Amino acid sequence: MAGPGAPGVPVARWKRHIVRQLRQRDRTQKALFLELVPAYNHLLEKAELLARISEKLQPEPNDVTPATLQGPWEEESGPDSDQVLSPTTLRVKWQEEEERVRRDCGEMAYQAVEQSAALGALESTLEEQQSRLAALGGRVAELQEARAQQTRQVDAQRALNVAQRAAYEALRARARLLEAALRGLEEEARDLLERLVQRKACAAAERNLRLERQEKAKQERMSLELKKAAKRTVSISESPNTIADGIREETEALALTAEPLSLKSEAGEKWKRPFRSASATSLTLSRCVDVVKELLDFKKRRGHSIGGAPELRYQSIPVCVAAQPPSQVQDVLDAHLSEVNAVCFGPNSSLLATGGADRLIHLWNVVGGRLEANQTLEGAAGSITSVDFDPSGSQVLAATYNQAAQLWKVGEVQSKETLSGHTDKVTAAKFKLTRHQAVTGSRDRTVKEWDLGRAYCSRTINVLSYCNDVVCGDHVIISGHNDQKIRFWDSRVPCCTQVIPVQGRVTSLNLSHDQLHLLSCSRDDTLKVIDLRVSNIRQVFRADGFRCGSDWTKAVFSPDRSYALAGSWDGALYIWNVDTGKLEGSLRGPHCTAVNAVAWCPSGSHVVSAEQARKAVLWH
Amino acid sequence: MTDDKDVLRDVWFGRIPTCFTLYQDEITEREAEPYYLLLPRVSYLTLVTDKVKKHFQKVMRQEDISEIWFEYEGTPLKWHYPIGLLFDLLASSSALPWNITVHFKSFPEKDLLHCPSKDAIEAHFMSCVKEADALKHKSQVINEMQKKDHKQLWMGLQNDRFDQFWAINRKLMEYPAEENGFRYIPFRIYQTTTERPFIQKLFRPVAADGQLHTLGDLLKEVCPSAVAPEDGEKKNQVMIHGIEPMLETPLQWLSEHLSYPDNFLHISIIPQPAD
Repeated sequence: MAGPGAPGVPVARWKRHIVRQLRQRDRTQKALFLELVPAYNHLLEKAELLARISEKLQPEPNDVTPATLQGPWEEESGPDSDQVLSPTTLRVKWQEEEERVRRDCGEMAYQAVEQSAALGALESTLEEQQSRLAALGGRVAELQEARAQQTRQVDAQRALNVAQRAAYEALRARARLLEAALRGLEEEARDLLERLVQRKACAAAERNLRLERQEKAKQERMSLELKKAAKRTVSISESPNTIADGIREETEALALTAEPLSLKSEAGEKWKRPFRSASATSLTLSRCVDVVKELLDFKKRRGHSIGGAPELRYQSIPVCVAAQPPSQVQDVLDAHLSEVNAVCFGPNSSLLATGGADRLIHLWNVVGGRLEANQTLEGAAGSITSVDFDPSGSQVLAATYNQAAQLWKVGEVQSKETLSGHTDKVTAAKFKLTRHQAVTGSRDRTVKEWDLGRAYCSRTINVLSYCNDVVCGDHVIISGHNDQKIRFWDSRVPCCTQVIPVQGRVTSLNLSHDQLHLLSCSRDDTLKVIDLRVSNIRQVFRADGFRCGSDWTKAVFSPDRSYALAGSWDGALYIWNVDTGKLEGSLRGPHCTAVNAVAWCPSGSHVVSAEQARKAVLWH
Repeated sequence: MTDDKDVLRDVWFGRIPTCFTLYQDEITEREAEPYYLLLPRVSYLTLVTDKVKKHFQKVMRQEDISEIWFEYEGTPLKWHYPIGLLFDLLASSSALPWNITVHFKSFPEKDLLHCPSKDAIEAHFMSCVKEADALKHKSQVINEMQKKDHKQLWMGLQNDRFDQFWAINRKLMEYPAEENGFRYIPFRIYQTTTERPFIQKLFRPVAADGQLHTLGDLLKEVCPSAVAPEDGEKKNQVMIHGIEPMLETPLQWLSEHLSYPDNFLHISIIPQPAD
């Protein structure tokens, strides 16, 4: 703030000049007028005030002057007229006066009367008021009394309340005491219970220990015995031949009976369906001829074979020439306690096997359109995933969740053989057409071939993916996998011979009787027919509403390969005509849950479907 | 320093005796007496003429009264110029008191701004203060002030309270110690002889060589016509607050002490009277 001119003690010239000039300015412009202006304004105000006062004052004199003028004039004129007026006029005046007075009197009297009337009215109202006051006073007294009474009542009530409160307090104290006692007792009870539980636990542990010890002892004993037994040498060199012979003879008999049967059924078919194409007929005829030839060959071979042929084959017996698609439900029953996973007809069409998640295999007789329980095969250690009859119909092979496949003889309740070696669920177990051989597929990504005669694994095929189903032809093993591929294996070649990709995880495979066509079902909700001669997909079956219910939904060919059948997730069965490639129809029956598996009996007359609940349904 | 304070006081309390007379064509009910008033130089006409208005309205019919305006010798007086400036510019050479004619009719729309209320004056005043501070401190000082400080400035002016006003205005007159003055000096130079209302330019208080600029430097730079040649006759008066400071007065000091309350140096350049 310090001005640049300030530092010098003698103030700068310009500043002095300014100060001087300012003073000069004020002297000329301000000081002269400082008193003058307010004085003028004061005067102005005063002048105004005076003007206003004078304004007010002016009209008054105008009012006053006429009055003062008039007054004396009247007074002067009054006595003048008095003197002039005669007594008559005076009388008249007096009379007027009298009249006026009288009128006034009358008026006053009237007023007096009116007043007295008003007074009377007022008095009466006063009386009324007083009486009302008295009445009210009485009411007041009454109310006061009532009030006193009520206060007394209130007092009494209050006293009562006090008493009750005391009683309540006492009760509460008692309740508290009792509660404390109850709590104590409860604690004691809890204590006792705990002690009891502890003692029980101790006892249980002791018992467990004892049992364990017993078990261990038993096991030791067993292993000792087993060891002992292993040391013992047993000669069994003779037995395989004899068994083989027995079976051979049995097959022969069967084949012989089969021949006329097939001829007969063919004739029957011809009679039933006269428009069947000539080529089909010739095919079946040639097939029949083949069969006969083979049978003859077999006999011949048999005559030659002394040491036992290395491959003993079951003969495929095409007993059905034309299958009838099912149309109606014949029988419904609760086959298992839970899910029914597998269903399979025996070769002679009258025996049916179902396998379920309840670890049981039931055998049923198909008699007169009904399923009659025949037998239950027990001993499976896990849920059954697949069942298969051997071509002779005397053995049943089942795959289980318990990492094994098991073999039963029809007629024996307990399992004969267990094929163990897989390290995960076994999803499929099928007999091969060669005798005493089987193939299993498992989720441990292997397919194994088994020698049933010795119950050992003859070959392990390692695959990259879960195996969901396997089927076997004469020399070929076909496996369907989770990686959407169908793989082909030859018994004679170590590696995979062919891979056919499909869209969707493969859930089932089914080989037609002539081994020329393969039916696959996959999770893209399609069925595919693969021609094995050219190894490609010939047909794809789809249907609106058909959805594959699970990873192990099974689809089958009809025995004459005219139809393909599969069950959908909603419980309906879908049938496609293989010849036309069209959907033949869908059947809705008693199934309410997804259909897991279907089986078509080799005679072509019946179909059985099994569902995820407990039902198995026989269709005709 | 005491001198400086006295200067501020003298500037603040500068008064101009004024005689207000009603315009002859105005219709009155009575004869209108002239009205005398000492107008503060630093204030605005419409801010201090309430009494004048009342005085003349008394003698007029109610329906004839519209917005008041003032005129001096045919020139309408702009209310948004400080009174001192108006006087210096228009009437400094005439005899006192200053005769102002009061009008209530035919408002000169093209010359004057309307002044509907005191709020309009306040708004104008504050905008001038802000403009000045923008020049002096890049608005930093005024922006740091609170609303109540702004109000105090205005109330100080409105109620003619020197101490109240300067308590706040002091901050506006400060400058950083490392500098020799403001960034730019807020000034306006008025001339009656030109059409242009006023000259306003950016001008620093200190020259490039550190020398303080003087009033003479400013005039030479901005308005050379106003400065008399060295040898020639003096033709113009340079007037602030009714005085003629010497041309060697430092501009920074002038700005700090002789600025009007709106923080501007209002410099009038008027022809030298012929006497």
